[in-house]
Amino acid sequence: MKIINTLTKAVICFVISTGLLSLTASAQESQKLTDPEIASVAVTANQIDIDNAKIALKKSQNADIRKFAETMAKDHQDVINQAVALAKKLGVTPKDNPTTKAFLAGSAKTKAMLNSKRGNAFNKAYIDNEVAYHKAAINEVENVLIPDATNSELKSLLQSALPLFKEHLAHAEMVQKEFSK
Amino acid sequence: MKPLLNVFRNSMFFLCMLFLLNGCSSHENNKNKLEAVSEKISHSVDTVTIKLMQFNPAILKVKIGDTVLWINEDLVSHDVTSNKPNSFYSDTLHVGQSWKMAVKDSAGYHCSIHPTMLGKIVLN
Repeated sequence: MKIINTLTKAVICFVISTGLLSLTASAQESQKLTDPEIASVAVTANQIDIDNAKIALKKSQNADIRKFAETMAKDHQDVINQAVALAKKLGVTPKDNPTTKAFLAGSAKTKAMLNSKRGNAFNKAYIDNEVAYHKAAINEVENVLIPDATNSELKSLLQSALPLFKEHLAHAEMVQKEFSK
Repeated sequence: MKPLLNVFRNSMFFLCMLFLLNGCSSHENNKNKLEAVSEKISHSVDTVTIKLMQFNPAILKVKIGDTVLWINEDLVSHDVTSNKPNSFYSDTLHVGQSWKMAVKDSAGYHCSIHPTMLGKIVLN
């Protein structure tokens, strides 16, 4: 009898745990970004860094900051061009989503903060933000966009862009050292 | 009879000239081919592919006079700039473009647009 009770408890535990697991899995499934949403996040995130670079080119006279900003404006535009061309080829229309909105909300605050600063304070604020922004973007691409992408060409484009963003981070950290002395 | 003999003699002379000329030109062709082959053996062209923000191979072993060809197969533009000031540098290489240089010495180089990208040419 004792054995039957133990077995019954084990079965109940198994049913509950597998039920919970499938609930978690379905919750994660519903949060997964679709390919049109991923295209939207990719274009928005790149555009935000171009906008920040344009502010830097307008406000900074520092050669290293200007060179870095020029590279950001050019490289992120190249990535947007390729993402847009791929979306067109695949017949995908980028679609707004909570991640895009979160990126845009953060960007509005950053732009206001950057526009309020001048001289060396601006240079430091710009490059500190570039380091933090690229860290966040790399995390998003590596852990959300690449795993969620279903189309192989979109996944491949994101995988190719990852080393670029990592180089931008290393470059930003190199410039940041100049302003942390 | 004499005019016939003259025609025969002229024809033979013409044929001999043709044979000699042909012999000279094929000798010249062979000579050119040999020169091209020996040039291939002594001076090779080595390729460095620029992809995923890296020069590949990052360290290239070459012989003096060899040519190195850099091909940009990345998402963005790059360049090839010597670490030594006033030495070699390429124009900006847009996606799909390439640049070549005959090697004179060992040298370290980088991409001036992306300064963390490094490469090296080592003389064997």
